[in-house]
Amino acid sequence: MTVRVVTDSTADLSPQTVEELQITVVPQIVLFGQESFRDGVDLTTEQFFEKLTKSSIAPSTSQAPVGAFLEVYETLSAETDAIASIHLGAKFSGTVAAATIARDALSTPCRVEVVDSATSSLGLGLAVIAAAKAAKAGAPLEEVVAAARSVADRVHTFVLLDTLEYARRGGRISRLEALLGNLLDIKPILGIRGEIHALGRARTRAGGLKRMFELAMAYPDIAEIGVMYTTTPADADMLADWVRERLPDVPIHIARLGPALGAHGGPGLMGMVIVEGVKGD
Amino acid sequence: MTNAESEGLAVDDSARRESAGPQVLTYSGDDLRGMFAAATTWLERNAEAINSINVFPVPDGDTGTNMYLTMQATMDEAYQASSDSADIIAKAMARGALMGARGNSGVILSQMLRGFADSLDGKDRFGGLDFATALEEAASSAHRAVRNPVEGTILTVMREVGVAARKRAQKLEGSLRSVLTSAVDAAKKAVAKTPTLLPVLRDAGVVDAGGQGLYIMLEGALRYLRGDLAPLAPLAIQDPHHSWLNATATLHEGGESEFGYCTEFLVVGEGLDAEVVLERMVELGESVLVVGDEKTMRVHVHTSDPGAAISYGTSLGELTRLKVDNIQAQAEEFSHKVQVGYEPNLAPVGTVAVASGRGLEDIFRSLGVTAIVHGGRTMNPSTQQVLTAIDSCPQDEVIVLPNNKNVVLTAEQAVQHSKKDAQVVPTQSIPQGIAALLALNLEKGLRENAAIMAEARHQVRTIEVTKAIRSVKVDGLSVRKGQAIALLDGKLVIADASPYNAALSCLGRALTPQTSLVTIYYGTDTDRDETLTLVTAIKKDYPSLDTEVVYGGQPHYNYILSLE
Repeated sequence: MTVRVVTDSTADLSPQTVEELQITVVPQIVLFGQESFRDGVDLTTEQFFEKLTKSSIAPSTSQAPVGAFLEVYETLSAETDAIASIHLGAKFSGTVAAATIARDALSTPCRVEVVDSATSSLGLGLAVIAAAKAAKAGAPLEEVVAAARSVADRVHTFVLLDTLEYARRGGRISRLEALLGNLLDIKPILGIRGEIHALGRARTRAGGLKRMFELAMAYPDIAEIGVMYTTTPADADMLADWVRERLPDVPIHIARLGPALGAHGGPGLMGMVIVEGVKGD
Repeated sequence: MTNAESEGLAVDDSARRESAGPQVLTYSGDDLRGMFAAATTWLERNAEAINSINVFPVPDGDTGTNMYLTMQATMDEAYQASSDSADIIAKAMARGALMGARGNSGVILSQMLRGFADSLDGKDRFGGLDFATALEEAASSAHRAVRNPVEGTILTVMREVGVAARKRAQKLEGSLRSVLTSAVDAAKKAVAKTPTLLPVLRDAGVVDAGGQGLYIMLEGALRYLRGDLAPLAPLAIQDPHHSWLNATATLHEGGESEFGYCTEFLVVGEGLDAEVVLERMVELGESVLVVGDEKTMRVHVHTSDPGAAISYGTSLGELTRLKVDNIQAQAEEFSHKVQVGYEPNLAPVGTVAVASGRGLEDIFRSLGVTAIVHGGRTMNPSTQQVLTAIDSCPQDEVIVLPNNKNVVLTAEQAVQHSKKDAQVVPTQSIPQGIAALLALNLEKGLRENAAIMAEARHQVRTIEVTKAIRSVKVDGLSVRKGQAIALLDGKLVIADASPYNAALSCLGRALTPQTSLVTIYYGTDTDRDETLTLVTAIKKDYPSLDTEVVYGGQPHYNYILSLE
């Protein structure tokens, strides 16, 4: 039986990819004060960003309830005996914890392996895609999980914020703020790899995009690249063009960032993901 | 017969008289010190005049002040020399100049003094030939130290001085006085020639300010030898360090206050009133001691707010010999370093930025700079100040951002003398400094960051708007005294009636299709409403530009604009 792959909505996978690779997505919960929405189900990404700019409430996201995972596992265990459940980094969210509790609560004989990707967004997405492809090709659970871990280990994520406003509102800026400047309008570039850390600052968006691009391109051996956007798809196309010029043979994925990063990054948020080549290949 | 020649003959006569009678063929270190002290006094009297002939009619073209302050630090050290021997005194002067050097002219002067001291090595007393040789060595030393030596500057003048001094010394067994007379004469001629060597001087209708300063110094030394000028020197020279220490030591023994900070400084300014200063210090604390005259004053106070005392000092003029010690700790013979804007910093490479202006300092701090060097009124700190800042960084690797072309040499000198692994990124303006600091990569080391920051400083254009202190023709532009002038990346491009117009015109010249953000830093003397009117005009003329207005608080410059 084919291994089934499960992930959460922070993987930012397109509906086409989800359908093509038969991935099951458990939606995050997006909270605007008292109002709660299932990411991608009750509230599309488009709607989210509209609400973000109009609302004075700082939204937050949280993991899906244990019950949502349990339901997915129970439903899938009718079709398979092995599930790879690959999720957003445990340092960023309680998603892995919720999935683990659901796994333990599952009463069917189906095996469920919960994978902490240690990353987010398209980085997670690429790991999930690798796993789903392996599953589609008939690989056993161990190999499917290994495929996901292999990609996740080689992922580097970069994000460029257009403003610190939303991060401040959400109370997420603490010691990072000291490094990022608060008297001048600064566009920070952050790196995500296990944790979030400041990589640089730019004064203009154009400068920031260039900086982020160069930071990503600095890796000598790049196997795959992702470009992410929130509200400015044209910038994503431009970045993709730059990538094609520099690395014409590397596959590029373009994805839209959802509320998980969008809530704190705000509109205008851009990102890039690179997957390093496998060493010794 | 020219005046110079007849003067020369008169001196030759006296030289013959000298060698005929009781011989004063050699001189002591004390004499040397006296000559340089008089040179410093004479320089101080002429400093404003020298300032006013800087080519660029900008208020902070303070060659005269910089040279004077450098010489003052030089003499401070000379008066602490351990012996009377000429070479010890010369070495002390070289040391003082090294640490006290301000501005490019100050640094070049310090290089000259180094060469001068090297030449007198081993000599307890000196004569005309020794002095001539030392002048030559001073010229060579300075020439070697400057990366791109330019003719028509202080370097040319010093070289001519060395040549003339050597000729006189060898030809007629020249006495010190005759050698110095030839030197002064050669300096005067060489200075007058500088406009023929540097077109920018010719267009501006001035001689080279640094060269003029050198001539003034030599003239002062000669006047001392002739008995025309007693070194009626400022306090720092007349009142050697140890008598100040005695006075302040009694205050400490008195045990008046056990807490707070022992704050000391020497202020150089104009129209200083000891009573007014005393009154203010008494408001701030205890154990107050104020000594000096209207140009130089030494202040000592025990206060819990050293910042207030120092701020007051900087409002009066230039501060040197600055010391702040924790009294309790001092009592235990342990002193804390002066806080030069130290901020805890997570970067592996420390950064030092030179900035004048409360707002600008705040900005650098908000960007995570490790230490700030206050430029002061002339915006030119001394080597020692930069060195102190470098040493105050917790990191072993440090990058220095001078943010002013007249501080680059000083920064280089400080870096050379620091025990840390330090490097200068030669930023020429505040916007360049900010751009460089923003480019700091927290994950890379010193060399890589220096390269990254050097690249980043070129990504921004700087416009500086100020008031012309002199009528002049420079860079093909005629400027009238009092007009508002705008400099684009250091080049004078606009002269206009108002700073508002100058800024707008210059902006129009500087904008390119790639420019997306203009930041306006307004200075301490600038009207906030005028600034807002300026921003409104910019937004109207260039609707696609982003603008940011920030209080810089800088002296002299109404506006500093950065374009990126």
